Amino acid sequence: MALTDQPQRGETDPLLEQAEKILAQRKMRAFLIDTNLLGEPGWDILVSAFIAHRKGTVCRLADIASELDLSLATTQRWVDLLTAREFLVRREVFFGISEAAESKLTMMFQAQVNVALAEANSARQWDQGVGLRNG
Amino acid sequence: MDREADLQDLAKSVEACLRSADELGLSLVGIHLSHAMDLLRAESFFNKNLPTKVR
Repeated sequence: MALTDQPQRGETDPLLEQAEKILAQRKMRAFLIDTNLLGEPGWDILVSAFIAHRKGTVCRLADIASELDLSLATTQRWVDLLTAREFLVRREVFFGISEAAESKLTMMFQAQVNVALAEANSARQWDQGVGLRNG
Repeated sequence: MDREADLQDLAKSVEACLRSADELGLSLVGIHLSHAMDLLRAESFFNKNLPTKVR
């Protein structure tokens, strides 16, 4: 399966895992620092929409507001702007990522996954080399 | 003037700015003002009276 393909049921989805990892890392910052000092909810909304897309679902305005600890009014404004800039598509209280934005985020997450895989391969080869020398 | 009254005045000013930003179609400005309203709500107990949306 190519990285960008949607996985079949039961298969792992490296792009979904990468997106979830990014979002989880951002949320973990809340344990260290007041998130009002950090910001970037627009990006969090976009990554959430990407995750929902990979899971085959859409986002609900109130759920995302609650998840990102934003007021509904502010979340709605972000979603309206991201929709106007064609990053999201919206239908009433639901929204999803646009095709163009999904394609851009896929490229970015795929590049990150590729780098991680290359690093893991190089570490494995190094370990094997050390093993051969010591064996 | 007490802090609560100061906060209410500030909220009214931000609300007026938010309305102007909406009238001018300045979406990103509106978002940042909306964040400011959220922060003011968190600062105050009078939040029941603050508007949640100006459109």
